[in-house]
Amino acid sequence: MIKPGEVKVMKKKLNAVKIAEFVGMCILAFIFIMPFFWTVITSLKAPNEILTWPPTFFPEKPIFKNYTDVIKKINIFRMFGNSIYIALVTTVGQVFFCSLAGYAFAKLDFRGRELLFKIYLSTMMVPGMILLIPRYVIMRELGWVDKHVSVILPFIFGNAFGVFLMRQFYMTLPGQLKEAAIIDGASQPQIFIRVYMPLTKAIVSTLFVFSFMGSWNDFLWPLITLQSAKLKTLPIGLASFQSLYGVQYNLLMAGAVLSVLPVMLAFLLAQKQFIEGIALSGVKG
Amino acid sequence: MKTRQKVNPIKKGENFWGYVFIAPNLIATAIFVLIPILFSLYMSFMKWDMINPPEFVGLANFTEKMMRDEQFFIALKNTAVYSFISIPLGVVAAILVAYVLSGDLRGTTVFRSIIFIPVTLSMISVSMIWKWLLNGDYGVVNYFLSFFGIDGISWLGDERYAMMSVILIGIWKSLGFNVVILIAAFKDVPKSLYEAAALDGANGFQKFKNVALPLSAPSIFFVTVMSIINSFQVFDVVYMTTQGGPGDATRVVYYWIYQNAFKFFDMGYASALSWIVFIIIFVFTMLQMKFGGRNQSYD
Repeated sequence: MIKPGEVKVMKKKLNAVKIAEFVGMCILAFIFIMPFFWTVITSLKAPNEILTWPPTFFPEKPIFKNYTDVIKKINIFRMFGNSIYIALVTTVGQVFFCSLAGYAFAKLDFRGRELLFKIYLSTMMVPGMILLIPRYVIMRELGWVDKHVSVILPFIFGNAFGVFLMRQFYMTLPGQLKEAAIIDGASQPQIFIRVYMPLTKAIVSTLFVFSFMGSWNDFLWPLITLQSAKLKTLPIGLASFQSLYGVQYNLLMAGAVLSVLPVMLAFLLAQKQFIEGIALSGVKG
Repeated sequence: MKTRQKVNPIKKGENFWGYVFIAPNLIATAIFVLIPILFSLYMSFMKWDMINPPEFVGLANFTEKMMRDEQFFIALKNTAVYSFISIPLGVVAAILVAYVLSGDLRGTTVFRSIIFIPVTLSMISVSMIWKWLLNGDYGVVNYFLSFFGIDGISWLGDERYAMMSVILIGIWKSLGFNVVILIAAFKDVPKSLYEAAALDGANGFQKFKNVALPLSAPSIFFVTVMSIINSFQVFDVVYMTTQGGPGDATRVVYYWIYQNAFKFFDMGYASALSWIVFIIIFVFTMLQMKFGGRNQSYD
């Protein structure tokens, strides 16, 4: 319908727009990369060099002492360990229990299924700030304040969002698989674990990344429940680090680099899962 | 026996196992969501410092105490300002960036990844970094602005700029989230519709306005609702950068509730405040749903 000549004219017209778009994106990319660049630069400066104007873009003499100082002053590896442990345990539990419930809501025929699912889904509407205080009181009554169990247990059994995501996926899988397995004499748990679960690797890895990110970055709840330095996760550890060394930006930025770097590496390795997980939450949500 | 046989043998045990499979989720929800909701409601009628036994005060938390709490109203106003600036700004920016990145520009996946990086990081690291960038005396942002003749703004330390700074940090952190969702939406728009619009003589902007936007309305709506919910619960960035100050400039409701509960140990009053905010969020979400729904049907 469109002749080749016309296409060329259109392309020329579009070129100006394309260039403007490209320049705009480059400026945006600069706004997103510059902060990290500046963080690294600052983390390599001597204490007196951060207080110079105009700021120097390359440290006169890069020093790595800031990093060893941070490691000496706060036990950042311990915080890492705590964060990894809590996020991993919580996430594995969440993925399993969300799969289990999502499968049941999608594939098993039990009484009151639709109603229970609707009620369960409506808990997504409840804002965290309502739950904060009573959950703290419950943890205090149970004697779990300042123990890792307080930041694991409320989340390990999954949440409405995860169940919803898994249910949507299980609904796309054929029901005949189940029927065939029943005829072969498999029990319901066997059908779930052996037949259906292996088919959900893609969505499970998405949910895994999503849950891990949520747990890893959680701040207010651990801030309230975990007080001992040896129990602190990375976000609350960094927060107390900042309140102790408020103006020593060379140290703070070294701490920021140490905390940000592993997450960035994980993102670069598992970009697909990160981005697809978010995109999916928009489409399904 | 006879009635049993009427049950489809293929569905053997589904009733029982269905309940077993959802039990962990439902029991945990009962303990960590439903009971806390009821408990929170109960506490909102109490005066309780967590040391002495709770004392019933009726509606006093909602009436006398709240009415006299000037800072709560300042916090509500601050949260409203935060929402009314950050939601439109954040959503419009996300729509524009996503639209460009859903096209055939060079390097779209690289740009997308770069914009997405802050989403993966904790707000704590992000706030630490930005607090330094926005430093009034030695911050690199002021250095760049000095080329344009703008000098020495104390971004987080000046009542006039603190809220705007907090908003911009929030948008910087969450832009990638919204962009990724909207790219998926824009890419779902069938190519044939753009081609049809082009044949009808639509220019680039018209294609964007009349094809891409209406067809992506559900995702834009989703992103907006998420932004509303998040903007009412903004906390981390305030905790890390301004602690509610300077003065009361960035004291948002969640931060005020946190202070009442865990700094002043006024658990009852803090619970009452959180209910008021919950109701406000609920009303806003419902209005948005009604409004959003109506919009869609007219398109």
